[in-house]
Order: sequence, then structure tokens, then C-alpha cells
Amino acid sequence: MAHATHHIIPRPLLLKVFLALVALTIITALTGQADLGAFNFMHVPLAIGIAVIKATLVVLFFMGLKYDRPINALAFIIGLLMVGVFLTFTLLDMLYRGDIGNLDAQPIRGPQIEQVEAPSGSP
Amino acid sequence: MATQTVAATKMAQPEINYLNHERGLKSWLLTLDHKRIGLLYLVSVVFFFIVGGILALLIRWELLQPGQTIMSAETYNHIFTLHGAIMIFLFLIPAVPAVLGNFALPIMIGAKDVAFPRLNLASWYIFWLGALTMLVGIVTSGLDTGWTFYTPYSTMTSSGVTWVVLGAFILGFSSILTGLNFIVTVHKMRAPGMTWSRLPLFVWGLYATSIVQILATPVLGITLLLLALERILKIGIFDPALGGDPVLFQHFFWFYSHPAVYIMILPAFGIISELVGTFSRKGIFGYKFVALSSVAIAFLGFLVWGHHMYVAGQSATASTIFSLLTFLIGVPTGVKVLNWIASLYRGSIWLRTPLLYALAFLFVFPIGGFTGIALGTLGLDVPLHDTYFVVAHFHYVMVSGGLLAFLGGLHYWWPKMFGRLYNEKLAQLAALLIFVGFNVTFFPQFILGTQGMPRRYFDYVPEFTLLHQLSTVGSWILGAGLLLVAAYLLHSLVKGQPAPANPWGAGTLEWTHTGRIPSPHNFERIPVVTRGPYDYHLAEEIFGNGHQGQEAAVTPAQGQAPQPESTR
Repeated sequence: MAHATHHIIPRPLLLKVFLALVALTIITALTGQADLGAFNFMHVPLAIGIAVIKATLVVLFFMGLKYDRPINALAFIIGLLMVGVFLTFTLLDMLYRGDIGNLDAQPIRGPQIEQVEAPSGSP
Repeated sequence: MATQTVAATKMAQPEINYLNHERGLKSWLLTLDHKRIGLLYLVSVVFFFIVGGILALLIRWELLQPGQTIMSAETYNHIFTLHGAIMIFLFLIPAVPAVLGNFALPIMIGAKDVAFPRLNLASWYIFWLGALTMLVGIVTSGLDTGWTFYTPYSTMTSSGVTWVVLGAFILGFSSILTGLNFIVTVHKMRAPGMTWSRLPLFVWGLYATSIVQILATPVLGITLLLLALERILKIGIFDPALGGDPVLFQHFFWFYSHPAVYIMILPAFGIISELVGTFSRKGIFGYKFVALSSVAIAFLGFLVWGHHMYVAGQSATASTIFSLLTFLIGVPTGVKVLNWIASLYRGSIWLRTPLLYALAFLFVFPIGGFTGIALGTLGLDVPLHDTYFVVAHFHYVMVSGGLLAFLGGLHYWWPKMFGRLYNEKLAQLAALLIFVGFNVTFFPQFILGTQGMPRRYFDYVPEFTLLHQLSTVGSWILGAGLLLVAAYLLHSLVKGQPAPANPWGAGTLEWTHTGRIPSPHNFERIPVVTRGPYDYHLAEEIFGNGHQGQEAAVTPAQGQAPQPESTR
């Protein structure tokens, strides 16, 4: 049943998508080498942004998700969501390391030791 | 006359069922029948369970006295690692879904087989490929990292980490393919009338498990790929010397392995629901909540992995969030436990061996759950981390979820698998031995943990001797109980009484709509489902004569008589 309604993507469209992918690859290479001046920090976000567009094109047209039943898109999106969950929680660790102070810089029980030592050291 | 002749011929022929319609080793090794594949898995996981169990007995024997008892410290490291790796990857993960799920799921939803029978058989071969790959590593170079393979030690040790991790990677494919098969089967192959709200809760449990298998298991593959990239291309990912982060390995590992705990637990929950429903002769209290709580646990199970890493150098921000989420997972789990108890309340309890295992589960599992909440508390975890408290908690959850539920399910479906009844008295004695043995083994370990006994230690101070000895004696009782199970089950295969088609008076399709042993295609006609799995008040085919249990069993005539069909 599903095969009977399977959408056949026309070859010219596939060719256009392929050319778009090639063009985006060239743009990635060019922007990666270009001096963006004050916007040099944009190199990585730009490359990732273009990669996302390319991946979207592949998924929609080469994998045919655009013409498939929405449940398949849902399955794909859940996969992406899991990657998002993993990165978010891992970054909550990576970006906040040492957020309760650098424990190596001084003994952990430093204050208590001083409090204990102070009375005994006093005359 | 002609009709009578046909009937007479039918009576003279032996009953055709899935066990005898084809014979010979080849018919088993190339079978596409989900029931036979389930039995292939049964033999496989029981083999690995015996190996893992013997290793466990050796561990407890070594700990009978302080100092060296029967093995060196190095051997001890290998033995406990093997025990963990074998029990987790080769028994607990495949046991319930691959054995009982494969056998029962398609029949329970009224299908002739799973959606992809060839893929199903391939999963079993991949399981063995993974298992053998693991064993090659273990036999040639041993393994002493613990089943968690933590870096940096796992990258430094000369033991066979690469082989074992590769084996786990291959086993992951087996797990993914089984999950994929079950999801498609549940979506596409339900019998007419088998709506989502009429699915047996075991099917709901397997469905939730399959989601976890598909979403979590690939991460194990990614982790291995990153390890390979680091080792071969020297890209710093986990090794600090290359600019990597060893804690990142733990993130990757637990992102898979914590949901993997739910792969072991969720189908077990499904079994308990079946047992409670069947043997209390009552609809499961809050069916929808019990069903959806499985999905909620599957979802929340992805968000709590950091509770394994409180003392691993993880940021306090992440630890706080993980701790909060860990508490949340207690909610759907509590929904289940309380609903099972509510289902038993004022039910028509029929105390047979499968229910004994379910009751044992209901006693043991909450202890594992509550101690999990204790360990999920940030401050309390610091002194308890890596002590025997964790070992006891883990076994209370895994042995109750994995072993007790598996045994309960095995005893429940045994008559359907082989058409024979086991000795009920011996089975009840064995259940008691296992329950007592388990608690005597692991409860002292909670106390040992709070007193500071670290896990994975080969030696201990003399003050801990009594509790360790108690634990070891418990392991012997547990072992004796399991041996008894093996003995009467094997005996029943040869000399067991023939089982009627529905010895428990259960309400699900595998009992009401198949013969005493299912035919190769399960049903002669696909059944039409008109009621829920636990609607005993509507199940006239079971209780039409006003009795229950064996008396009320649906016993088809000799020679695989036509299956009773729901007509309401």
C-alpha cells in the first residue's frame, strides 16, 4: 500500500539540490578563509549554520522526508531532540565546572581547621 | 459421513504445533518463527546466566573471609568484571524482551509473527556474534575495568577492553533490531479490535523498552567510534594528555547505560502487570496510568544519567538538575507500584508460583527504588558512592526487575511454551528459597555500605566479616533455589503433566485463542478483539461456567481444535 503512494522525486529537482549542496560547500570553504574583521567570531556559527541547511536539504529531498508521512518526520525529529538533550546536559556540566569554587586552591576543610587551631594557639 | 471421516482423521493425527511441525537442528537454526527464536534466546541467556551466576558464587566465596580465600586480588578484579559484563549485556538486557517478548508479543496482539521475521533471526545471530567477540577479549586478555569501562583506566590497562567494547557494540545492534521489530509489529500488526487501550500491559512495557533501545543504544556506538578516533588519530576526546576530558566518557557511557537500566526494568514491569491482573482476576487499577507511566519512565530515563557522576568532577549545576530529575522518575514508578497493590486489593487472589514472584518483586523492588532516591540525593551520595550500598541498591533493582520478573514470566508462560505443567509445590518452595536467599545476600550489603565497605574490594577489615559471611550464605540459598528451578523445569519437559490451553484462566490472546501449544502461525484465524486484556467480567470464554483457574480453562479438543473466537 505504502509503495503505491511512494513519491518519485523528479531528476531535475535532485540535480538542483545537488548543485545547491555544492554551492553551499564552496561558500563554507570561502567564508572559512575570509577575514570577517570584527565578525571573525562568526566563522564557526556560520559553518555550522550552512551545514544545518545542507543537512536539511539532504533529509528533505534525498531522503524524501518532505514527501513522506509526518510520523517519519516525527521519528527523525525525536532523534535530533535526543542529540539536543545530550548536548544541553553535558554542556551544563562542561560550562559550569568549578562552580562551587576551586577546591584545589585551598584545603577543603581550611576554615574549620583554622577555627579548631585558633583557640589552641592562643595564650 | 464425510464430515465424520475428516474428524476421525484429525483425531488420529498428532497435534501440529510450533515445536513439532518441523524437526532437526537446521529447522531451529534457520527458523523464522518468533516463538522458536524466543526459545533460542532462552537457551542462550540461560547459558550466560549460569556462567554469570557461577562467577557471582565465586565472588561471594572469596569474600567469606578477610584476605585471600580462593583467588588472588587480580583474579578477583577479572571475576567481578566478568560477572557484571555477562549479567548486564548477555542476560539482563536480552532476557525479558528477547525471550519472553519474542515468544509472547505477537500472539498477545493477535499477529502471526513479528513484522520482520528474518531480521528477528538475524538479531539472534548478531547477539551470538557480539557475545563471542566479548568472550574472545575476555578469554585472551581478561577484563578488569568493571562493566563500566571508565577512562582513563580503560585506555591504560592491557586487558581486552577493545574486544569487549566491540562485543557490546555488536550486541547493541541486536538490541536495536529487536526494538525496531517490536515497534513496527505493535504499530502495524495488531489484530482487528486490538486498540491501543486494549494492549496487554506487557506489550506496553515492551513498546516503551523498544523506544529506549532505538534511541539510546546508538550512543554506545558513537562512544566506541570516539574511542577509536582518539586511539588511532590521537584526537583528544577523553584523554587529558591530548586535551580531552575523561568525565565526558562517563557522560557518553551513562547516556546509554542509564536508559539501558530501563531496558532491563520496563518489560519486567509489564510482566508484573500481567501476573497481577491474571492472578487477582481483576482489571489492572488505572490501566492507562500504568501504560503511560512506562512511556514516562522511558522518557525521564534519558534525563537522569548524571546521577552516576556526582563525585566524578561534574559541575554542581548539572548535579543539582540531575538530582531533581532523578526524584521525578520516582513518580511514574510509584504510580505503577501503588496501582499494582490497588489491583490486588479485593481481588480474587489465586496464589500460584508466578504471582509469588510478582509479590516478591513488589516487596523487593520498592527497597531498590527508595534506596535509589537516597543515592540520588546529592549530599547523601557522597559518602555512599562506590560503597556496598550501591551494590545492594543495584541488585535490589536489577535482580527484582531482571531476575524475579523473568522467573515469574517464565513460570507463567512455561505451559504455553512447552505444553507441560511444572511441579507447583517445588516451584513455590524454590520461589521462597530465592526470595529468602536474595534478601539474605543483599540486605547485609546495605549495612556494609553505610559502614564504609567499598565496592569492588577483594579484602576488608575484620569488623565486616559477619555481614560478609551472612551475604555469602545467602548466595548459597539463592543458588540452591535457582538449581531447584532448573531441576523441576527440566523434569517437567519430560514428565510434566500436559497443560490445558489456559491453565491460569488468563484473559489475553495467547491463552484464550491458541491451543495448548501454539500452532506455527499462532492462530488458525486472526482473532477479532472485543474487550480489554483484563476485562474478566466480559471474558465468557474463560469464566462462562462460573469457575476459575484450571477448572475454567479453555481446553481445545485433541488435534488443535478451532480456536475459540470472541463473538461479542
